[in-house]
Amino acid sequence: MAAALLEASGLVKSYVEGDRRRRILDELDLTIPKTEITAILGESGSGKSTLLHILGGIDTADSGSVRIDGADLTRLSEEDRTLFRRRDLGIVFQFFNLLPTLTVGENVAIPLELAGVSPAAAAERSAHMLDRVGLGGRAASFPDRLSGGEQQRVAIARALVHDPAVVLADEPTGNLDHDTGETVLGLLEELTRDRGGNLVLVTHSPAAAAVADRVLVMRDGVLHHR
Amino acid sequence: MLRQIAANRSQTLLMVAGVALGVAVVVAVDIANDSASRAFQLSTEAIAGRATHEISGGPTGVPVEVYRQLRRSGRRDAAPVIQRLVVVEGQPLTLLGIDPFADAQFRGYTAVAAAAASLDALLTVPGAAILAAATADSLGLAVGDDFEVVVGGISKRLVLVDLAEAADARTERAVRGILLTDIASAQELTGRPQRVDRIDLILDDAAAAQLAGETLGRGLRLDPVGTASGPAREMIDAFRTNLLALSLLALIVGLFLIFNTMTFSVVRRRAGIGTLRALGMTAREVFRQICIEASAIGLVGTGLGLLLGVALGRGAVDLVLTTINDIFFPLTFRDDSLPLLSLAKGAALGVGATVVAALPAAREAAASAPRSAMMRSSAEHSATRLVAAASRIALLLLLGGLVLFALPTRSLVVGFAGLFAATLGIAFLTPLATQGLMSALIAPLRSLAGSLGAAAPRDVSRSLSRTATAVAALMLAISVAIGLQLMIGSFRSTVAVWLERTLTGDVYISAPSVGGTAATDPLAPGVRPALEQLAGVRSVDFVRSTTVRTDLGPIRVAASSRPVYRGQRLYHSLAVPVIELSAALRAGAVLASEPLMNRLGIEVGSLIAIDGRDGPHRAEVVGIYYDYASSQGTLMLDMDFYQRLSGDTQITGAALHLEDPGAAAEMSLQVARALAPQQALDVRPNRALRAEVFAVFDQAFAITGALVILATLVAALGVLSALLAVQLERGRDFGILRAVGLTARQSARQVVGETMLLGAAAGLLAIPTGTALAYLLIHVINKRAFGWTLQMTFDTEPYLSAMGLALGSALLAALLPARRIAARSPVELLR
Repeated sequence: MAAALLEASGLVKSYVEGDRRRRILDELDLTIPKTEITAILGESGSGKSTLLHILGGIDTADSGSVRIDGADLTRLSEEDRTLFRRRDLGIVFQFFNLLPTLTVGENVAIPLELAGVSPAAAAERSAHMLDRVGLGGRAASFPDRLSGGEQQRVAIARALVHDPAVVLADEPTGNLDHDTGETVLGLLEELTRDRGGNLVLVTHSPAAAAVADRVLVMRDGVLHHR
Repeated sequence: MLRQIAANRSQTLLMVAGVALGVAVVVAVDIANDSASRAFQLSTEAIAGRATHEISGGPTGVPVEVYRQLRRSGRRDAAPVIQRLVVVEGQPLTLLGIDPFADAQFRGYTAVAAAAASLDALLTVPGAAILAAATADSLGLAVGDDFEVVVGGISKRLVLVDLAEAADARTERAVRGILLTDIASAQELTGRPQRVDRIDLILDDAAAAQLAGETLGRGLRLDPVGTASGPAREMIDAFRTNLLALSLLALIVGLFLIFNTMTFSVVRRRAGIGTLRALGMTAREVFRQICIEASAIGLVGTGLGLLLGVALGRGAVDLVLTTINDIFFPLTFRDDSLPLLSLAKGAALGVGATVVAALPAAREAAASAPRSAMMRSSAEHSATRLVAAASRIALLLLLGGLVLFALPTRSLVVGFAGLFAATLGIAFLTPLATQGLMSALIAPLRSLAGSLGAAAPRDVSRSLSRTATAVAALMLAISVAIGLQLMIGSFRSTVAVWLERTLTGDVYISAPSVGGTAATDPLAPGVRPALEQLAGVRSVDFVRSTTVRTDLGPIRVAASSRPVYRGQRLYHSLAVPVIELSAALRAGAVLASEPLMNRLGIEVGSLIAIDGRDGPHRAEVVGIYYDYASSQGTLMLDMDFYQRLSGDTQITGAALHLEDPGAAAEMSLQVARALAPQQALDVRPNRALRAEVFAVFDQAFAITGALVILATLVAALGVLSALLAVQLERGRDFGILRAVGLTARQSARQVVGETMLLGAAAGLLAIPTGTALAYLLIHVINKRAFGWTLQMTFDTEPYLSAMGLALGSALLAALLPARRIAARSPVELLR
């Protein structure tokens, strides 16, 4: 196995529901090597999205640790986790999550601008990325003018534009019809492999998981190899 | 419903606060206005009593002989009165000199004077006086005590011989401000033997007509009671209308807040309402539900507003009464009882206004089809609709305002209606203007701060249905602040120029004023020669300020020994060249002040019949001059002519022109000391007098400033409410940004930045609105209310402070939402 890029160990996350506590992640361990596409398969409510949020540092675990490329996310402050995300992570959401008041080009440029790239340079790289996802002529459009598939392609461009170490994708096809979903997934796989990057894909669809090099199944708060 | 209110706790609290502040301001001003009105009523009615008419004789009063003749002719329903403002132990009181045998039928509370014990004392003890028990108590006096009374700066001693007990609370309040003596003592106190100020009468119309026709003696006049105080009442009413209008502004701003919050509440629950509609809830039931919610919030807010209003009202009463006393009418009476009607009005207005402001939201919720209510896009669509609808309303309001201003009337109420229509019209243009402004800002902000910079104005535009009302409310409050500041500044500079031209003397001398009221008490007879013999004095001007009877009613006159000084006075219009004015005045012509021209509709060339001792003199108005000393208006006469006309040789003021103007302060002290044995006088150097004028000026506008601050506070609450609403909606957007690398601090900065854009929009829009408002206040409202022409002056300070106020309010309002956004984790925001 290649060197590990992402390591999670002993992750515990629980929520209080009424008067009882529900454990979503139960001492979960996960190791992802460099240049791999990993799919985490699970039913609705199995905790796979929670795991992805913790891996991305936008949520915290009750206990356990997450190390990505040598950095221990669980020891970082909220501010440092954000700066880490800005630099090293790309996230694709199920509901695209584009900012409605930014144009397509600006949506893609945002991670670069946050990282300190000048607006002009960011716009150039954003345009290039949009070309790669097949939306070269749509930079000036607003997201509400785009179809669901197009919006998800913009989201993929945004997740990849700053060349992050890991891309986390949360049900990227969950809100798309079958054909569009396949196209988007194909694009995500192609771009990840082209750049020799890493993709952690969370999905409830075995078909979507098929693009992965490795498929893990989430059940009872822990991961099982398929 | 309670769950709904609890779920939107901060929104609900803000709405309650908005209603409470709006109601509080209206109630406070109403209490103050009501108190002013009752104080004025007490001052006039308590003293007039049951009298229907009065015989008066101008500045020299009425010879006692006239009264005796009336009694001899069998008329028993007549009573002589001497009335003067005096000071006892620093407390202003109304001296009422009466005939104990005749007065009780006019003023029930004077019956005490006719009671055996008092009557004996009043007629036999020199300087016998009666006070209300409460007044004597507050002065620390008991029956048998003697005390000092100051009449026009001259001290005399009186003896308290009895206490007046009032039969009821109203009479008690009336008696509290009165010092009662018999006529003879009052004549002694005022230094006018054998004369009374007036004779009160109870007459029916026929008897009045008959008596008027009888030979009362030349120079006397029979008028219905209240004629003398009529102009003062008009001015006080105008002052009260001004305050009422300002308090309504706070309520309107509060209404914007309610409208904003209720609309947002509906927008936020659109999906829930859609589901309920889909499940079978009727449009009417949805409508009712929203109205019930608004009523509940209105009730709580109104309850708190009433409590706050009463507390604020107590402070406002002092401010209003002091201003009325300083500027319009001496008030020695005060009625501090809580007017229940004010509370009832406030309650009805608070609850009613809340429901009315919630109606559009309720209608929108009820009108939504079940499916569209569940769609996000219908909320966005409503923003576009809002801009169009608001612009149409704006057009109608602006047209309405123009029509109201064009009406050929001098009505202050119509003026304010026009002002409100115009201002609200501009407020309704806010969504359109904000949209335009934000579009213009996108490019510069993008080059300044990249994509996030461009996003800020777009976010403001996108959330217009939630933010436009808040911007409009803030804009409204700030434009009023600009308008009032410009108006007050223009007023101040106009008065400064006028004082520069008018107060040409170096030292001014008058009898001390009572309770801040302009002095009309005469200077002691020895003062004039003493002043004329002073060393170091180049010349002395004398003036007699009093009120004369004319065919146009009682008019204040200023008879001056030098009415046209060096041609410096500012004239509105003249019938003769300035150089010929002095001669015209010496021959009996008069000058009228601008407020008099506006109040009575006179102009150059008009003839005014002034009562003289030998009958009326028809004086031609040869000029109208600008004057800001009195809003009731003044006639300027040549003193020699006035003395020949009236036989009144008293003087009320003097101005010294010194050989060395630099010695004014020293000379003032010297004159005060030298004249003290004769009369305690106010002797002030020019500079001190000017400072006093401006102190009164600032005092008069103190309440205005307080009202503007309250209105701005309500508006800032509106912005906060709108921001919380927007922040709730935009939580997800910030979650996305945080996920892609925006730090919590940067998120907070983005919220603050967007809010500052709202503040800047309100401030920028307030600049033209405030300027237009100032123009209307100066040229329409002020002119109709007080008759003064003010030179509009522009100063950067009102604009800068208004912009600061707008940005400051926005910053304050942004702090809480910014903190909330920053404190939540990205995943919480994304949920």
